Amino acid sequence: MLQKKLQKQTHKKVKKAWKEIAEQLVISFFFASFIYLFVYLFIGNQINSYLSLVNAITVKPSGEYESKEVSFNTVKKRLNNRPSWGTIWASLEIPEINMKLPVYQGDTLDILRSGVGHFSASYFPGEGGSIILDAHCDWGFFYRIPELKEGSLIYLKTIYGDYTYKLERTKIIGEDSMDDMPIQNDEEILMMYTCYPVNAIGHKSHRYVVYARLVEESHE
Amino acid sequence: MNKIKILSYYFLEFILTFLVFFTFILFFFKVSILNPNYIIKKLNENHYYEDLAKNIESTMEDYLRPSGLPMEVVKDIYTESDLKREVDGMINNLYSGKKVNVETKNIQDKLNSNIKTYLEKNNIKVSDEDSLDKFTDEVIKIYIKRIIISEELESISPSVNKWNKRINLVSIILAILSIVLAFIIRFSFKKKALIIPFITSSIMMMIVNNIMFLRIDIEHILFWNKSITLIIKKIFYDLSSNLKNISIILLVVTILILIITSLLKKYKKKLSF
Repeated sequence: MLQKKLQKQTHKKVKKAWKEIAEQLVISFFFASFIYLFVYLFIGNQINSYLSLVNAITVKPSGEYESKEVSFNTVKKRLNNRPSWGTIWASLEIPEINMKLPVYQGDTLDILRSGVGHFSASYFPGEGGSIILDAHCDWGFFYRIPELKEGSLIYLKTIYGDYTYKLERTKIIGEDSMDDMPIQNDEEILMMYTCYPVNAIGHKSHRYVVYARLVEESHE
Repeated sequence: MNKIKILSYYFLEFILTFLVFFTFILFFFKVSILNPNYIIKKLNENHYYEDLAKNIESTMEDYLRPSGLPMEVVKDIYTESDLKREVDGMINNLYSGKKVNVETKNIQDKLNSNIKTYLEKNNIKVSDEDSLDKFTDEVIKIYIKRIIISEELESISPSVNKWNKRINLVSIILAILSIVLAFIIRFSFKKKALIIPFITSSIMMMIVNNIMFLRIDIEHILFWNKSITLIIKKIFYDLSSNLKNISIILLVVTILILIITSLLKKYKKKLSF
């Protein structure tokens, strides 16, 4: 009888202990929820804006950057889609100096290792504005550009049409003189530049710029 | 306990929970991203110095191309251990609020020597000496820029040090306040003081970890260049993993202590009876 009473009392005490444990856990979860709500209500917006700032430096996967077909809208005189960064969209040909080079979209150092870069803030052939192309001045690239004269013909064979330009003038400018290559859309001017003097040793603090005007175009 | 005493107990427990949670969080960041040795360790683990050397070489190659000078002029002007020394020094200076600068005299001397040797060997005469001086300056600039990454680092260095010191002070104060309050609760109310704060802190750490993981698109982050991005990702995953582990261990250990102490108390009473 006494043993049964002792067992009953022990069982009660253990039950009480478990109740205390459960109480502590419930209070902890309640405190956690309260703190979370408190933070969310008072500084939730600030935290969201910081997180958005961090997410602003993300690059989305290739799904959004898949290359779309490039075509020219002859009515609007604009490309429907721009070529994807780093892709070849034209061939620059100057028979006078035996030059034929691929033209890439963009003009980073990576791109300039392989061919001619297109300054992406400038226009495309046919759009009636400034087109800026640049390349290194070493042999096989723009080394022979300074040999061109007034009247020299420059051909841009793009993936949507062929364009012919006639050289009007050349100019030697400082390496930071971007004012001499203005972006405008009043007339179609092709500007090609490279480091100058082309065969000097060391740092080249000048640029050789060629200005050519559109004389003929044909679309696909 | 009467109602006022119960309310006072829970109010103080709530304050203690805040103190304990922020003590944990500050301590956690203190031993990780606020510790320069942690950052240096991550750089070592992820071969940052090798990538940096390749990056510098590649950029110098691009610059050299139109210069008429070959890659041999920049060969062996620096070593990977030079880079490690500079980067580690830069990180330590950044955290201690000192000037962030890169030692370039040796590199400049070696570069000038290599250029002179090349020109003499190939019997090349340079009419414009300024172009060679400018060339050397630009090569050194490439070296410095790749190591320091951004000139803004120098401007934020004093702030980093200031905030680090403040966080140190705050974490010490929080820890002392937590201990004092825990003692007050224990002896005033004769109840366990730290169980609720520890369990709540572990739950909060899990919530913080989940928010970080769910809300930050870390997989697609791109910061400065691929090497730096990789380091940032690794640090993020490491912090997240550590935070998760600490919160789980804290929760499990606290619950076990709670169970053991509660049951032990009851059995002790039983034995004494």
